[in-house]
Amino acid sequence: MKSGFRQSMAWLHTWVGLLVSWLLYFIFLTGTLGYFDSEIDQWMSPETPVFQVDGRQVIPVASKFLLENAQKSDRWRIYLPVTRSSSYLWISYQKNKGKRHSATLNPYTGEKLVKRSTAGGQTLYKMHYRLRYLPRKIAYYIVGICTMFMLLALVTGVVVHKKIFKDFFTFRRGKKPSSWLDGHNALSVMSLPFHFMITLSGLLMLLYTLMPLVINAHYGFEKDARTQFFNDYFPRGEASEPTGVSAEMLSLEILYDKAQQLVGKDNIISFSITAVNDVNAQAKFNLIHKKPSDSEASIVLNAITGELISKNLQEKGSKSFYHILLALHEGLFANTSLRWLYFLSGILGTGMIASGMILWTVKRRNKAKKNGGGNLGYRMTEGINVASIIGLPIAIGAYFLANRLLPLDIAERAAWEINCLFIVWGLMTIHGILRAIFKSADNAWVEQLNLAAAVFLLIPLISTITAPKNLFTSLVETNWVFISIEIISLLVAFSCLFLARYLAKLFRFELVNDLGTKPTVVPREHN
Amino acid sequence: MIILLSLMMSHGLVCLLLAMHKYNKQVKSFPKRDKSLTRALSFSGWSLITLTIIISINYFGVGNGLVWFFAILTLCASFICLMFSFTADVTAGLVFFLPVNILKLGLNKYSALIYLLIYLTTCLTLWLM
Amino acid sequence: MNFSGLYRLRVLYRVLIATIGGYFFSVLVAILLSYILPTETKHAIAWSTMLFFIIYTGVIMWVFSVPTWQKAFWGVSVTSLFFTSILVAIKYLGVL
Repeated sequence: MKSGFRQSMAWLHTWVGLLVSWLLYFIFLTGTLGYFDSEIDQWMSPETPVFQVDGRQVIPVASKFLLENAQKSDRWRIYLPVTRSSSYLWISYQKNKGKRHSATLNPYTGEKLVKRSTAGGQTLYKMHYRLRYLPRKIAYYIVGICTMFMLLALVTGVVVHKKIFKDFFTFRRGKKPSSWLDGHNALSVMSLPFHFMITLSGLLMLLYTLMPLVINAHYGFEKDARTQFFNDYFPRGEASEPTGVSAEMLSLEILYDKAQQLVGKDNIISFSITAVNDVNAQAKFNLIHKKPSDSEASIVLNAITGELISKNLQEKGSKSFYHILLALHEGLFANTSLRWLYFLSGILGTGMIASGMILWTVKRRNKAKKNGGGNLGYRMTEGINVASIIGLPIAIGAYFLANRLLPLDIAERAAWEINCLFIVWGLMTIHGILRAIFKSADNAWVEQLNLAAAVFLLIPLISTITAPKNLFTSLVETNWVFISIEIISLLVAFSCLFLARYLAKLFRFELVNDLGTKPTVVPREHN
Repeated sequence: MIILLSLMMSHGLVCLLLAMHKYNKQVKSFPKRDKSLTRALSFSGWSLITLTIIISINYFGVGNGLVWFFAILTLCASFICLMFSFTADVTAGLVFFLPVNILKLGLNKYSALIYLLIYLTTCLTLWLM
Repeated sequence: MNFSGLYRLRVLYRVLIATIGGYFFSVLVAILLSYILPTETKHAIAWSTMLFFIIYTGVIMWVFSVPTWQKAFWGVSVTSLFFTSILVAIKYLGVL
């Protein structure tokens, strides 16, 4: 490549970065929103109340429901409304590995809660690794390759940026290319620990899908080789199968109390019972994640006698490393304030990718301007940059609006919400590219920013008109989820508006400047 | 506790920032070529940051403590970087105001250590309580 | 920047060596590690699978940093062959 290690790394960083930045931007933005997946879920089903109840109080309600509806099933699962990620009593039951029935209940009365059909925050965040409209495996490979590129871009970025400590606080304002460079550096370096953690653990999430060959070397290439390894490596405690001999189980209350004695009060988030009312009956209790190391913590009790069968509170060796990194990625252990910091780090990461994309064009902008706006590749890049940096937020705004505006009774409503997102994003991409090719990407920036402002301004307005809750009632009820989401969308709207006006002025100024300097430049060339 | 940690981190970072010639030449009130001052600033900066790690691990546990430490580092560093690029003097004032304008110590190597002293006593009192 | 055909061809070579050659190299190192790491087999497999990504990153960076693509090619292929022979020795001749 270029001579010198650092130059070649800079080259690699530039091109590797550009190649995957668009998809990485999508992955980072949706993933960042995913730190508030349950909150977005709540916003997207505004009629449904949410609950935070002491786990023990709910057990009689759950027990009554199961006795009435699921006597013949052999598997029960109960999620208690005790954390942000589970705000209802959720029960599922299944017979002979057949169809799984589930119900969302009011934890006080046991009434079934009706939720509007919505894709919610879950689908939004799942897209960051599962993508959409693609077979699972292909999506995983694409995301995996992008993550690999991200790791490469991070490492080469650190190599290129030699004076990490010395330039730690450098941000030169108002000097175009160097401001963007400093901004890109600052955004990357400040949250470098987060970026490394999130990238590496992202790879580990898809570890054995992306790299099955080491397993194959030991277990062979047969179809069940992977399963064999997983059975060895992740042994399952809940493999109790019904024998057909029925037996009287302890009541759920007694089992829950026994588990609480072993793991402490207010620590259980969910439990499942396998081989219900059989001599083999077992109850597995999963604990709330309170620190990165207890992502797999659980205990298993014999449901007939109440004896402790196994206890798994701390993983060991490679598994502990693996699970801690996964837990750090998901951040399920984080409380509200730490979650906000996670969210901010994610935003910084998104900003890092966006500023990298812009940096690529800014560096080539003067050269492109001299030959009438640059070649097709440059213009395409500019167009796609606009379409992802501004177009994707518009599409996500449209997804939020679709949740409020689509008729409640149409078929496949949840899928259509997501379709709306992608339709809008597609339109934005077409708009951005066409604008960049036939006129100038500058117009696309201003137009899409204005559109983004409009969409995010509409979110609280439409929500006020169509949903039973609005910003004012939420303020009265101090419903922080609704307040935060709507205020943030207002903030986004106003900053987009501000940015649009600023850019419009800047571009006009540049245009005037270019026209003004032309006469002085041209004669000099003739000389 | 989170506020205390953020304050310590911010002051530590500003101390480190002022210890570097590249940045302190942008600050008007900063004395030129005062080796002992920069050394004291960098010492108290690193000590404050180390203290932040120790306290956050002690308070939140190892796993959560480290996560909190990096999260606060990210937040404070971005904030200070942005603030320094807008008003270098005010940012420096975060550290200089107390020893110079209130305690009337002037700017020397002892005044650079004043925050370290303050936070150490605060942490010790909290720990003893 | 020189965008002649030769330059593009050299970039293409490096990309191929880095992605495909580097992939095989890293897989081989990872498998080798899974045999020699001093822990239980299942943990050794897990550790080396996780290390694969780090090794791969390193190899790609190396391929793009050496002065000529020929050197990168020979470096990757010779070491890969070497590791393959060790692996064959371990797996089929039972050396370890």
